[in-house]
Amino acid sequence: MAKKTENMDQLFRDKLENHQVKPSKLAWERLENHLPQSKTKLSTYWWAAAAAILLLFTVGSLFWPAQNPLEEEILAEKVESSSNEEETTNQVPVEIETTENPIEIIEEKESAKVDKSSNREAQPKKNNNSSYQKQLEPNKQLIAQNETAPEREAIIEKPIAEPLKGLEAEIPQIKPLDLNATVAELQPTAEEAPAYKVTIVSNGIKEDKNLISGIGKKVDQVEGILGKVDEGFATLQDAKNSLFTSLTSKKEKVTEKP
Amino acid sequence: MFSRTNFSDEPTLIKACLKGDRSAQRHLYDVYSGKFLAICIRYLKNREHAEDVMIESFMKIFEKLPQYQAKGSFEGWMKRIVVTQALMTLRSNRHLMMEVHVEEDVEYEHHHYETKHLEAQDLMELVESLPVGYRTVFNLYAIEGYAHQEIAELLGISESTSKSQLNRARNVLKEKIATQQLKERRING
Repeated sequence: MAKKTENMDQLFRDKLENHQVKPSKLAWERLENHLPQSKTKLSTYWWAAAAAILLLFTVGSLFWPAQNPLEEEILAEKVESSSNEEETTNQVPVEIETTENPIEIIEEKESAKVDKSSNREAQPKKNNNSSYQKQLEPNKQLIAQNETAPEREAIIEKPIAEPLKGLEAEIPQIKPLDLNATVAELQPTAEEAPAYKVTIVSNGIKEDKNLISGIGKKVDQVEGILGKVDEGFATLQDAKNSLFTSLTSKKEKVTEKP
Repeated sequence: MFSRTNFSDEPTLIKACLKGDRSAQRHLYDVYSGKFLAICIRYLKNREHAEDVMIESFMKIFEKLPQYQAKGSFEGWMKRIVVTQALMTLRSNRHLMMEVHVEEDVEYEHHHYETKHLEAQDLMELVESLPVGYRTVFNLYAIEGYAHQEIAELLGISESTSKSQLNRARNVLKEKIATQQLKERRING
């Protein structure tokens, strides 16, 4: 009897020890979800991330040179125009202080001449602003000379007179200044002249809103032009299509006739 | 990553699994998941439940792999983990280990049976048909080859209980085989 039972145990062991039941396909996925992130997977993620960044850079570099010159041009234009604006707006009071002296003197002495010269040089307004700035410093020196040698000013009047027209609107506010007081003020300002330049530069950067809006306008303009070009292209295509269709229809007609 | 390493060599497979190599883990799973699922089914009957335990066993295997010392067979070591996992779930789920079948000792000896024609699937069904207590001891002793002392420790029962459970399991199996064969004979005429 013992043999029989052992045989039965043996039978079950032989048949079932290596018996296999195929697990469901989902079983491995369920197991994998519970296993800690394998190192190989992590490294592949890193590689993928690196590849993505590299791809971004290459694509960016491909598109960059095409856009850059345009933007730079626009920026340069913006900076110039804005700086010009600021020069005129910010510097006007300072300039007035310095220029008033000769102006008033000129007006008193040779008002007729001023009118003529201002008329002549009224056209290159923008450039005059910058050139006028350069002339500021000699002017200050000349102010001193004004009192002693008023005759010489007649020669220098011509360049100084240029901004007169543009500045006329703001001049009335400061007109009541006394000659003596302004002369007194000029001497310290002449010393601090470089400091003014610094403030102008900083103002130019501060006015970002104008810059950005200006760039936006320019971009809009460019977009508008592009849109027009597209429209023109579309109409051209339409015209071409109609032409072709008319041509082919004509041909068909021609071929049909005989 | 890009070169498929051959894990036919057991030590290299273990090393790769220790490193957390996913493909090595997959290889180990592919080789042993079928066997382990069969073991779990023998203990737990319910296939889906058994698959859960098989997955848990693999988690335990990967977790305990650093503790494995290449003294005994790797498969044996893994099987022990699977079996303990199955026993743990049995115990936690239904306190069935404490179940003692108070049955009259019936004489089974005079049943005559043939075993040659029985295939693995038939034997699986026979084992699954056993009451939980019998089944567990029979699995552990007859198929897994555990000693009664070990079984007693594992299940928290006495050695004599283990022995008696085994005997009853054997008798039930014999009876079932015999009745099956009787039925077959009657059908065949």
